[in-house]
Amino acid sequence: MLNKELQNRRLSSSLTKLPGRTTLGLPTDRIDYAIRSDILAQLLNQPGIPVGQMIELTGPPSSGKTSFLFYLLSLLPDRYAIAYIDLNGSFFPAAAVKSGIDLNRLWLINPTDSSQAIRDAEKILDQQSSVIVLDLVGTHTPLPHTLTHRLRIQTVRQRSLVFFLTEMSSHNRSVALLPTSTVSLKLHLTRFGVREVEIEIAKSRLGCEGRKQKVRLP
Amino acid sequence: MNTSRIVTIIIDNFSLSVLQHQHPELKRQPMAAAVVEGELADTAAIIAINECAIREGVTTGMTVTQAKGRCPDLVVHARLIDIEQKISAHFFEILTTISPFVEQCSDGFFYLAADGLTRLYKNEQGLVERILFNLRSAGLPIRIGIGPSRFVSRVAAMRAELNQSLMIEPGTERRFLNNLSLDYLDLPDHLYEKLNILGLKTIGQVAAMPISELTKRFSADGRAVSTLARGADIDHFLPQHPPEKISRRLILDYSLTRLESIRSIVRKTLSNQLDSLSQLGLGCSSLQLIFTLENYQKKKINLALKEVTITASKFIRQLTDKLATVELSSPINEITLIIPEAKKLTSGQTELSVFDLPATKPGRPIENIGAVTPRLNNSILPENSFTPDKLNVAQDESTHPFPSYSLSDISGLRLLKKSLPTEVTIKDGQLITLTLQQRQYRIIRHGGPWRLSGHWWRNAFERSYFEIETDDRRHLLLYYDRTLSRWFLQGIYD
Repeated sequence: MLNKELQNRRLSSSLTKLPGRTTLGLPTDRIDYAIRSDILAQLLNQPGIPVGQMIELTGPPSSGKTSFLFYLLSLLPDRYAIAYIDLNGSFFPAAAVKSGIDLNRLWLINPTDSSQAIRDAEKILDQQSSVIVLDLVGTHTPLPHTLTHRLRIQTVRQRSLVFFLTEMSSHNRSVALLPTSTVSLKLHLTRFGVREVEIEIAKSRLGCEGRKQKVRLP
Repeated sequence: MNTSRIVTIIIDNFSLSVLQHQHPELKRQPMAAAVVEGELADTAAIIAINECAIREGVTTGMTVTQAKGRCPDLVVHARLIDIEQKISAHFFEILTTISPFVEQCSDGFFYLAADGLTRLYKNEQGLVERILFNLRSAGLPIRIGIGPSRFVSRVAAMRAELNQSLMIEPGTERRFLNNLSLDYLDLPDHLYEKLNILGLKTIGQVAAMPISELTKRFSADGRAVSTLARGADIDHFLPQHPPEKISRRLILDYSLTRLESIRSIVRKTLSNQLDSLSQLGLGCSSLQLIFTLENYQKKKINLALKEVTITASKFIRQLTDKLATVELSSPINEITLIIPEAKKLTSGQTELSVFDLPATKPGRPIENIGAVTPRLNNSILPENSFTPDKLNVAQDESTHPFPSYSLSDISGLRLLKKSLPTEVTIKDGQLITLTLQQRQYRIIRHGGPWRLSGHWWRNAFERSYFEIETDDRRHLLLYYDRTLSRWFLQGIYD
């Protein structure tokens, strides 16, 4: 009961924000959002995800994380190239096309291990401002901390986005693949139907941490 | 206890001081500065007056007519906004040579962080003397206050003698503020009146009130007033870092003679510099190029734009025009590019900068990382439905936006690297259980079958595809290989 009360207060306090300002107090019109969507607006109380963020999408198998990722990628403006770094070779291009992603702007990379994956991501960011997806589903080796932090700095500098796709077991146990301080937004997904997904903000530097929202993926 | 030290520097009666500085002959006459748009009108508002005018009964806020009614000899001048801004910028520059952390609050009003400067100036008195010495040359009257917060140091500066300082030692700020009137708090009129009705006339009386009581009665205003009355700040100290001069020197491997080459090198270097500036919300409006020639002569070219920019194109256009008229006596060996001042972009330009980022070219090869652009082809088998390289693209790709096999929903499908053999039990034509890696799952829902067959001439296949949902909410893609009579797990809907 007390927990519920606390959660309600937390949610209501996150809603009491100044109009046109994020929960961090920054005016929204001065922020460069890489992705804007109604679902994100409902979830984060701001139009979308600003540039320079590292985002982790996690959940048990079939939780809808890949669908949600594809949905987010399909909303990216044309100026972004997408680099999909697939560690276990499970990327299925037809599914990406079905979700509205243009394959002409997508690079598929199959690195040998996670260190190589991060180095590849760094090389891409060196060359151009891109959106990087590091698909770590099925990987059990934690990412090297130093390399990951270096990638974070580069992501901020290049005004890019990096998505990490990780998987929990069916019992919501996850291997800590990423250093906790790396990601600025961690979304935990659970599937409720064919299209219905519940998204919980497990960690957020953009505000609204702890918020849960059921969304219907298009 | 707050241990930080802030110095406030106020140019006394700024607008009028600037006017008197420009017209020293009027110092002994009643004088006023008015806000004017265009010509000085009788209805213009007086915003600053000197002592002589005060003695004649003139007050700020009067119109020119009203003021002249009280004092017929009053000399009214339009406020010199441009000069005020220039003087402020000059003062800011001087102050940044004293401390790296200076905030310009408004024209003629500065905060400066005094922490960590003791090694340079021995003590605060030394720091004040240095400020007075450096600013004295401008010939404007200043007041200096030092305190543990912005508010306390501001009040101290307001109470300091002309060209003198007033220091408030840490821990004595409450005693200093106690007997001062509420006027120093800059309260909104309604709050000032309400506090007066409650009998609160001094800052000390407000500070003695419980903060919760004031917050309850006056909400955020009450809290802010209480915080200030206790000598703390409600705003943060936000120092502005002075823009640095950016200089880039390029020593060329080979001498340049062609205009095209010069232009291309300058464009590349300038674009890099402007890109890094735009990341900080800055741009520039002027540029200096120094070409060092083979015969050691130097040629300077200054480029200036009307507006601050973050793109190189306008500069390059100007450079092309200028180079066309310049005669160089020998080839260029070295190019120095100087951005004299980085300037802040407007909010519109900050938004614009997003679109001016270096254009991403997904088609451009990314070296040494084996990146490929996957292409869909006409194969009906999921594992063969795409090729990693666009060289193998099927010609009629446009008519097949994705493979023609009829799975109900393929969004979010992840293929396993290699299909995994599984066991499925069937009862009355319904799929009941799935055994995967020695664990059994109950199948609660399934769709299909979709039958695929082909390639009878080579690697023939005959498969029946099923989409299933297990009791632990996994959505899986299975197929029954009729040639092998075995079940396989091929993918997971995620």
